[in-house]
Amino acid sequence: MQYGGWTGKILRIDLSTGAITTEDTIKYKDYLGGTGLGYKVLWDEVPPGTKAWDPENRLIFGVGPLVGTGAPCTGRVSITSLWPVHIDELPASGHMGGHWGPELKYAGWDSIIIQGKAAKPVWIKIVDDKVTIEDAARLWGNGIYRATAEICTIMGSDARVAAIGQAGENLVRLSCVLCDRSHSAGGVGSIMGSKNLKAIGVKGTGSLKIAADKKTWADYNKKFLSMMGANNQIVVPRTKQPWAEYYNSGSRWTADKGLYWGAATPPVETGYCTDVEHPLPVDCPSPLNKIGLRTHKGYGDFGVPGAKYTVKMNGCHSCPIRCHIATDIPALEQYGVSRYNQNTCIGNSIVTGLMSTNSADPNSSITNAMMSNNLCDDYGFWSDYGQYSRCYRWAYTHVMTAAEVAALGLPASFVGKTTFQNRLPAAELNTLSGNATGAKPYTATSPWGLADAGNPSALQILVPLICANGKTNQPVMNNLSTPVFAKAVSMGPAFLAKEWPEIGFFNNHCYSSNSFKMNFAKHHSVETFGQIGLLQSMLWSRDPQNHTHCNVSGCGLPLDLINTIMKELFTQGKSIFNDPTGSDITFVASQTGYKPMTPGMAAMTAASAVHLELHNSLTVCNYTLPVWVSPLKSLGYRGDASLDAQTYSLVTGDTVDQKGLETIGLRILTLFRALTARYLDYAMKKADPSKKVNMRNDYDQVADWMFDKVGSTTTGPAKGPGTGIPNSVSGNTDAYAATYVPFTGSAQIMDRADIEKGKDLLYDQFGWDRATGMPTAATLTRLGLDYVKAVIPTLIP
Amino acid sequence: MADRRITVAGDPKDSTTIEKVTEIIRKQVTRRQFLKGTGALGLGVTTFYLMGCGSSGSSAQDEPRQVFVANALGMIVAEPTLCVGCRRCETSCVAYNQGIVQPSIANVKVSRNQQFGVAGVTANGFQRGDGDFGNFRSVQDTCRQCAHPVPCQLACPHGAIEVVAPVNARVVNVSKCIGCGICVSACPWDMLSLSGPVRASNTKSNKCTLCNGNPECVQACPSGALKYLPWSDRTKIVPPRQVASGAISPDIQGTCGKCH
Repeated sequence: MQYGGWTGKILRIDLSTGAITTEDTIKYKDYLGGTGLGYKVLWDEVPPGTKAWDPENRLIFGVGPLVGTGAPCTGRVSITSLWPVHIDELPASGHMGGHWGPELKYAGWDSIIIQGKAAKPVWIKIVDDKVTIEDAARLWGNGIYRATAEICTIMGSDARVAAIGQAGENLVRLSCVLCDRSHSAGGVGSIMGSKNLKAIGVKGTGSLKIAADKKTWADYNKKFLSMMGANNQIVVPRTKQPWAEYYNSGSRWTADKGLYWGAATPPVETGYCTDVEHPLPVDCPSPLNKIGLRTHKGYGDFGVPGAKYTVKMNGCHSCPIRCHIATDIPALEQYGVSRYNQNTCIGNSIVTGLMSTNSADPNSSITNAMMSNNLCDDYGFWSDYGQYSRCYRWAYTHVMTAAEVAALGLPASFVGKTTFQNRLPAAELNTLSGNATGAKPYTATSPWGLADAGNPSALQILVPLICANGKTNQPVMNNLSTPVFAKAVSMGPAFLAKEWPEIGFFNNHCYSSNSFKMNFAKHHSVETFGQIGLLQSMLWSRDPQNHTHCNVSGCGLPLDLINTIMKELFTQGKSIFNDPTGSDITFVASQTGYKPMTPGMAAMTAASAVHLELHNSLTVCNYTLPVWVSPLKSLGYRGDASLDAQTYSLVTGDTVDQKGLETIGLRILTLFRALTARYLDYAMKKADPSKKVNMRNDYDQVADWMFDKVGSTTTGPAKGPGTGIPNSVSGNTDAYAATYVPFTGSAQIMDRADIEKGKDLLYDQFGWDRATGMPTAATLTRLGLDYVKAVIPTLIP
Repeated sequence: MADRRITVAGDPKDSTTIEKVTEIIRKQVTRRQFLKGTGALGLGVTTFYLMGCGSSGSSAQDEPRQVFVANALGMIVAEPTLCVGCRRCETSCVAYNQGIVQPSIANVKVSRNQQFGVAGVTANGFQRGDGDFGNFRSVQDTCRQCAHPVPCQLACPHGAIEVVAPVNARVVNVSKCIGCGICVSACPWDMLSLSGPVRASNTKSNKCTLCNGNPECVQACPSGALKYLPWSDRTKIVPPRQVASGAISPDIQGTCGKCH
């Protein structure tokens, strides 16, 4: 291939036929890699009507041109497929970091397209250009740790393995693919399970070309690193430190004097980890050599116990910002599990929502979290970004009222009991709680009794039960089996709401659900710059985990400075997303209050969405990039929004500027839009042939709790089980107070008319039609997507 | 040390003391002006040449073969406790020196110990040993810049591993290297690597050059886990990684006996 970065070859493996073929990457170059490549493969090859677990579904391990190059934060993989967690199984992606993606590149492959279904369990072995399908009979049924170790005994200790655990094998919708111990791609594990594919082991000894000369490349990397902050591109320290002008108590730049990786041998003091403009005599040799110590997330997430138990901060290939907390908690050994566990953010609390903390034990929170890691990273159970566990908690604790039961049309016998009590068979309630009604008090040694006492061993019973997914033909701990419970928890909230509409009611109408739309989690949405977060979240079929705007909102700089910097980026013509009127962009409820929608907000929203797709296609980490702000006072804390384009140009030699790369990103997002419309239109027509999808109304919807108040007599247009019930009817008090008024005080309550205006302005930025939310014919032509028109002519305005 | 007698010159009957060797080396160095301007003349010693008993056919040499070489002046020392496993050292080592990215030939090696420790994987061995699947201890392997006898240098049949100013790193002369891989198996710590198949065209051996005293890996490490320090002999305290071949190139085999 003439370009650097890419290897030039894509691997295609048909598990039905055993055919292993090679394709030229160049035909996907316009889509970069990652999700872009995934969307194109789905568009070309997977017709509507295909289900996630059909052999015809494709599972695309998409790795982009920047992966493996050593550019900062380039360890990512996007795994795109028909998404088993979405109620209509619309396309989406799971993403993982670690070292697997770079290893694939060094083996000579830009991506892997998996199709078909193996007749029996297999794993795929890739050693450079030697690719074989191997028997996985002795791996199937095992957890990910063991599968990885077994494969490495065959391939070598430095092979990298992406595998599923029992969750994926048992077609648990909430399952993931994991590599490198703790790096998970959410929601896609069961697709591997459906294809009888246990793992992909990779070992690569080859090289990647960098188009730029080596000095330019070295200097560029150092410049890039100098503009990076801490995790989530937070650019000020948490505490007041003599070298820093600003500090912010919410910062993840937690490094400080007297703060240690307490379980390191010997303990490691983070000390001040300054920016490059404030070198200290002890630096070795420069502040860039302490950037990896800036983010002490053990302390950041778990406080003093976290600092005590942190061995080090770990993470992905080429990333200087370490976000995985490697811990050593000796107390875990009493439960028969390893004392060493690691993960980050929600990965540390995948199942901790199923239990309480023990208030008598100051270490209870981190101990439970690491027990959760130990189990979930082995079984391959996905967090759902917390949504399933909030639903679980609600079904476990919320006592249904007469008004709710009546509004939902449920049996009157449901009144006064929890959803689990109402829905689970007596035998399962007995297994879980120790009595057949599931009423408190629970037996102390029952799973729920242990959970309420904050005993981590509760998870050692619950996780295997859940991951068994109702299957009784395999050994589950102590021969327990709770098939209804297991399926309810493991299928995810969207599918559960179809069976238990009260879950849909909770997710759509209750403030504490934190759900965004379609029963999936809010993941940097309305809480992050109000409408900017809300509008971009509408655009995907899962929690979009967009950190583009989040990496600005939480950066720690004063809000007026952030607004000034964002106006420079999005009102002065530097981006293809622009507001020439120069309107203000960033507002925060607690500081300025939310303000009505502005065109500048729409420009930043569009850029946030497009940069997410760019990052997922290049593929680089969107949890840490982009660098729209920096820690450098000499730059007035400006970052450089063109860094992605610069990296891409230097690596590949295909020179584009920021606007050029944004146009590629918009192409990818717009293809995803068309792809989603095509599948959703099919699903709607299947239910009612007279229907035609309107993306604005049928897809770009958000949960009603963001707008409704206690006592509201109307509600919004959100669809699905349990929706459309005004709070006045259900008596729901898990809602904004009746006194709240949008755009006044610090209220976060949103206004429907304002969001509709926001859609107009956002579609304008994308070149999408206001009435339908679909790309116009002119936009498709401009983006090189003319072929879309022929496939879905009736959907293009 | 002063009374240790070794053989140093072409005449096997001629023996002398280490001090005399040092004096001879000084003269060599001064004549070749290796240390011109460095102010390090008192320490000596870049290279000491012995005439070998013959020369390898494929490496016609204009100069005498290096056998006894001076100690390196610096070395890269790794602190596993600080290693965060990002492998920016590996990518920087190759990219900033050679313009490509290829961790398999990096002269600092992290990946191979990262998941299961130096001891490597064993079936059912997760969560027991070192590494990310164990206790998170990640050991970064670096070149020891061995003192004489330098295993890779003595094994090379082509005299391609030379000692190079200003820091006396043991460096592969790529114009002499034919990619045979004998040096790779000669290193007890498995620190050399071939860029391609054995003896394929353009295959070269890669080993740490210390980047002229400002190693890229040290600059790249985001946690200060690699340091460039004055040389000291670590060969006795770091266990070997492989059973080294013990090879000594035929062209100098006879030479060893002149000192030993």
